[in-house]
Amino acid sequence: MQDMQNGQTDNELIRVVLSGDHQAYKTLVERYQHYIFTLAMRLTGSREDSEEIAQDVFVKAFRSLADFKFTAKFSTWLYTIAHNTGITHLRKKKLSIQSLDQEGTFIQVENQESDFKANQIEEKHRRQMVNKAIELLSPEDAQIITLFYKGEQTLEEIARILAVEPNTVKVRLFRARQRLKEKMERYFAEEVKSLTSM
Amino acid sequence: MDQEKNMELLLWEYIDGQLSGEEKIRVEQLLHQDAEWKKTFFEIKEMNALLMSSETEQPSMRFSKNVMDEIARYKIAPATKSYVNKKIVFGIAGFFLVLIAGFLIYLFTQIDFSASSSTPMPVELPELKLDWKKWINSTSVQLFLMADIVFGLMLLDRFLTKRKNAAINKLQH
Repeated sequence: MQDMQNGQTDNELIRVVLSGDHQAYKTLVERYQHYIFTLAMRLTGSREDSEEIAQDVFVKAFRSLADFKFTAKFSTWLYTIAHNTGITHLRKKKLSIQSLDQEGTFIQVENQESDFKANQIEEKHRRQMVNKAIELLSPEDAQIITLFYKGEQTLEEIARILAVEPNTVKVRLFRARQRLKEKMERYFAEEVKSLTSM
Repeated sequence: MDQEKNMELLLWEYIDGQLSGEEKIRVEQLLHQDAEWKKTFFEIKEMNALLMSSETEQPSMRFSKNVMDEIARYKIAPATKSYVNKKIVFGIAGFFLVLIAGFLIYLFTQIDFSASSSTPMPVELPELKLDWKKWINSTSVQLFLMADIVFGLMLLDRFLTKRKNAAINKLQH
């Protein structure tokens, strides 16, 4: 995620901040706030907690900015801080990680053989559906999917963030996508059913 | 069931661009020949497109302002490498290595390599001829403690000088 808006890459901005212009950090915050907040949301499911975690992540990153090695991507470094902060927050608050098999929120459909018919639903609506389906996953599954698809991280970078082997990430990502697919098939099937009955 | 899982895993890897040349060709062949593979491939492809288009969550409008207000209270901490002096670390490591090497050399000099073959043990364990009382007494302990105190004061002085210089530099900027 090098720059798109103000002509400066992440690394250039970091050098500016380190040279004393702390206001330049705001651009970095605005560039990554959605991703960090989304990661926190995937872990906690609470907007209030996620805002707190995301703020904590940016403050920690700012204070440790002198330790950032320009050999790695800033986003990978930031996501590592976000992952650790999120996990610590969960432990502190002793939040019970709710596995998203809370199927009660969605009505299961009997038609298990229904194929993906997502193309029948509007684009925006479809995106919302995906987000809802991701919310139905466990925090670990939701986090790995977010890092891969939204955080623009490779398997190796995710492995570094989560402190596991790249092969473990590969397996976890596969399982997360399978579970998401199952939930989406059910979810979309229900949506399609309600649309066609209108 | 396992076959189905393998098929899906390979197809995901194919879409992610994780397969080697040979594996890629094999998967492409299967996609041409097998209707089941083709059907699953299109499902996975659509799923991938949906995931790509998923949205990120939006924090509150004041989020970046809140962060900037918060960081105004803090300073950027100096880089870890600037206050962990490698020379000190290497110095300590060197001291212990010299100590171990000296001990080993002493042990080897005590071994009687010309021991006769009639000796039941091939290597006769050396008898330590150290006069401990000569080395460990109240004077040596006091000297050791004094050296520790001097070393500690040197480190404290170094730390305080560094802090003072950093504060002066900050004021100058």
